[in-house]
Amino acid sequence: MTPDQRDELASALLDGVLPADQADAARRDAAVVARLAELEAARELLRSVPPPEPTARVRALAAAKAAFDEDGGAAIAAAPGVVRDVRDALLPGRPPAPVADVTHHRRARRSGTRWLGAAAAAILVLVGVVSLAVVGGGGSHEDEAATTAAPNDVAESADDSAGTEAEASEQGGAAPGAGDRSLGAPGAPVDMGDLGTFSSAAALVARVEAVRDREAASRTADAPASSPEPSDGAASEGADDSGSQTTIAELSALSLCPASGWPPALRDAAAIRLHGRATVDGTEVDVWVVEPVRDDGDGRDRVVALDETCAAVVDQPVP
Amino acid sequence: LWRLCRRVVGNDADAQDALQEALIAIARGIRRYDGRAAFTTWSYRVATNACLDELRKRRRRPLPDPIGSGPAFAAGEPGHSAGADLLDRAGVRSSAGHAGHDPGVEAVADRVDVDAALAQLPHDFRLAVVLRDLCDLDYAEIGRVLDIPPGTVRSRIARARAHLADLLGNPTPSPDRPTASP
Repeated sequence: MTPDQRDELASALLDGVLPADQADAARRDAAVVARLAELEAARELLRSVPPPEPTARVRALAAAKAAFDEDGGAAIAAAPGVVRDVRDALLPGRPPAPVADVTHHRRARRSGTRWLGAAAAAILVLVGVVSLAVVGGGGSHEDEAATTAAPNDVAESADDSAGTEAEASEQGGAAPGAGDRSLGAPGAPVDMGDLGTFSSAAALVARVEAVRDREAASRTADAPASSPEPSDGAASEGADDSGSQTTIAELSALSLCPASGWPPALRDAAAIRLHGRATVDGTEVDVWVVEPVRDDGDGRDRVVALDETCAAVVDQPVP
Repeated sequence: LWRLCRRVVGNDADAQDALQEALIAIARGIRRYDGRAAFTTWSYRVATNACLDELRKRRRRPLPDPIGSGPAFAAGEPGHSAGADLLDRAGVRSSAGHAGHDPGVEAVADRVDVDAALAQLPHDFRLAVVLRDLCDLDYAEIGRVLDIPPGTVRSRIARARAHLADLLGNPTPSPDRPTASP
């Protein structure tokens, strides 16, 4: 065996790429084993790399971020699949999330952080109430106003995006506190997923009708096996006390169009039953199926489809 | 990526430049990542190109005299290394034995040794062994990064390792400078 052959064998042994029989034979050769030890030692020395200077690391990351903001951010927004691929590569083992696009992903993230803000606000309210009680159970109206206003400030500073959405909601003309108004159905509306691509609004409405009917049939079939549910109207009213309602602000986070831009049929709906995404005539839209307010029209569900500019591509009763 | 850059270009300052260029290139080029290779493999390929660019730039500018790049080591003389030279210059090691032995200084000496040993390898060999032993890529991934067949990767790694072992292993170790071999 020449020295080169011995080195190749020892290197392959080090990498664990030899078949079992060849590896066993190599381990019986003292010269190969000795060379293997030397290669291992050299590898250990090679691996001991001093860490980068913190300032250099920060500078490099800042430069990359600036480059990303200049070029990459727009590029990624145009190619959302890249986000999923990179995330999967960096976080192997994570189940793929149903991310439709970056905008949606970011809004979903905002939704998560908004809960933190809300939790912080709730804690501050609690602390404020206890403090007032300890101080003497009294105080002027101004004091109370200051105490209750503080958590809102904290919540807004804790999450700019949540604050922005709340402000936008109010600027959009919704009733005061509309962002916190609970909708009838407990939990989030049923997710219809991606409904597909349609050449016209009528085709979308037909598809939504089919999905809604199937969903209603499914609910009816499931009803006896799960907790008994009252009729639709009673469910809407009773769910307000369940503590698991979905607020407009939460639904806004799901939507391409924030709640401030919602038309009255959606904003003032008694309940939002279904939500999905679709593409109509080349425009991506959010599709909502809502239960209208009691005294509005004929009581039939409405389908409302909004694009990202909040233009209503569809707003009509479901046949 | 830092470890890759540091080992390929051989010093902190150039490695910092290469790393920054690599990160910028990744940020700008991420749209071109098509998912066919693992993201890490793609990143290493980008970083490898940044390192090679850095080495090309360095070739065009004068280099300061690196510590220990004396003629003996440059010639690959067995039993003497840049690190040993550093210890000699620092007066840490006496010719008589272990006097003054300091693990911190030894570590620095080892680092200098590795840099100097790697500097003697052709770039292609250096990259192959660094991608394998530092980045833990397999032969096929290294082949994709360097655009060479896996068989070539395997032989380059073997030859690079052998060269490094000869240079770093101190075939004729002095009693006060133990080798890293078990």
